[in-house]
Amino acid sequence: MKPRIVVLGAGFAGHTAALHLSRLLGRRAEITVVSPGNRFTWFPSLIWVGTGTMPSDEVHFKLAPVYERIGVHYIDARAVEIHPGDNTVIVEHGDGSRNTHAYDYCLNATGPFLNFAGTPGLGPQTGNSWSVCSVEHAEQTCEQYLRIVADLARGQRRRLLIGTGHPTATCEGAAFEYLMNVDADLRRRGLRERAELVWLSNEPEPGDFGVDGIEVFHSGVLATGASLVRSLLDEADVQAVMGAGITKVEPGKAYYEQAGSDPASVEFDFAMLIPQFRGIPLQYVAADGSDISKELTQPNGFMTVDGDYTPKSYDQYRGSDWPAVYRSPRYENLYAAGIAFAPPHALSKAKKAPGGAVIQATTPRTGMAAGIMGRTVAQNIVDQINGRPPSHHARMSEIPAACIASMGNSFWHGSAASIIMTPVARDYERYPKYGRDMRLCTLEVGLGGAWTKRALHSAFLWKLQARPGWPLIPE
Amino acid sequence: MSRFWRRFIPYQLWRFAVINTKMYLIGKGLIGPERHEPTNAR
Repeated sequence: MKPRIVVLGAGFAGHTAALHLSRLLGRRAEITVVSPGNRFTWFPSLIWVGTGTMPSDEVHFKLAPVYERIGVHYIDARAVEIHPGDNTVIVEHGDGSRNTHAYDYCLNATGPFLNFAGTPGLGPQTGNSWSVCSVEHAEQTCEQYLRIVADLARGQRRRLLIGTGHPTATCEGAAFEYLMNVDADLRRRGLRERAELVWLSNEPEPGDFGVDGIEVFHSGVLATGASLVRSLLDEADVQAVMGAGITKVEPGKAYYEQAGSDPASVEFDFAMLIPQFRGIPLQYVAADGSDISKELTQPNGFMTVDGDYTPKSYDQYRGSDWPAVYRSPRYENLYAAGIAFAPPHALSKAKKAPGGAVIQATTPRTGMAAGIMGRTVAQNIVDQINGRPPSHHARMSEIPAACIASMGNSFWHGSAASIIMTPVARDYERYPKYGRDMRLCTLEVGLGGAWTKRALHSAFLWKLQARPGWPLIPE
Repeated sequence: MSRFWRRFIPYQLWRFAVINTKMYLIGKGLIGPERHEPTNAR
């Protein structure tokens, strides 16, 4: 009988895993992907959808035809329960009906649950703030943004608040890209003078991006991401509120706490605020029917894998804390990758508000990192099928990350910050001074970055649709 | 870096080539942390 592999989720980690499983195993395994909506979304370009500089149909494609072509079974449903003792998953279809699917190996790559409810009044459902975390959200955000643009065109002044909507939100990089694209778009329209831009972030300092910042050497001189981002914010005339955690949003007003300051508020006419991410509410059920969700997940709902989850302070963080093979310590055939696995800790320094609330940028798992994890899990499942223990590893403290932060989507007038860091999580045991390989860390701004961002958009949509030569394009 | 260099097309073409080559080589595991495993590593 062929081994049955079930992949839950078809984002960067799940979809990449499915592609590599198909490439490595072909017809030797029965590969099934469970994901609701029948589409893959290229999230890095949603910031352009949110400013109206890219149509939404350019950032996603249908999954079913791709999977049919590469011999992967696709189920348009969402996973609701994993029964690791029985090796089954229960999935729920759009009409509410449920099915059980058996597996020999399971990868949980279900991504994030956008926890708008974690901040009272936050999110598109309240109409108080907007987000670019999904195609629908980006479309709504674009509609609201264009209303503000119309107001500005009529000569009115408007304040736009952009940043993170929770003290422990993540994806500050995406919010920063949106901010800089709004700035570029308003300049292009000749409306920037009438708009006040406010950047409110839970990062301890500009340029932290949830990865504890970056340092590079330019011609032998040390430069930091913080200094670069500060200068970019100054050049763009953006007011920055750093180390701030939003606690409540009302129509036109956001309340926040900040280390070393009394609680404060900021008024706005338009807000794009990224919510806190939590694990998708999956239930884990033991063979005897008992709920073992708490034993298999961390308090944030993400699945526990082979990391070191001992509570630690920033000074005690180690590269070896990070999971290597992304397998559950309790079940040898259950993996989690991408945003679905629980990071052992954040990378950035935490700050405390006078009221005691922790303000901390939590660890982003970008497309490149999630893709590498998905590929690694696929290779480890193949190892197990071949009777070997998992031999592939991709700790966040081993893997590189390349991030192109768009600051304007235009072939002639665009710009972007090109950021390469190796590894993502600092490893002071290997790189004692900075925790990273400084020969390879890169940080620069320019028009070439805007071309790179567009090139990546096209190259990865080619790769992820499994078009000819796709394995030549790295994650 | 000055605004001039951020916009100067020949320099930006050079940086585009350098950044993309670097990303490709790192992504393939040909340079960078030696424990990072490249695509197709088996």
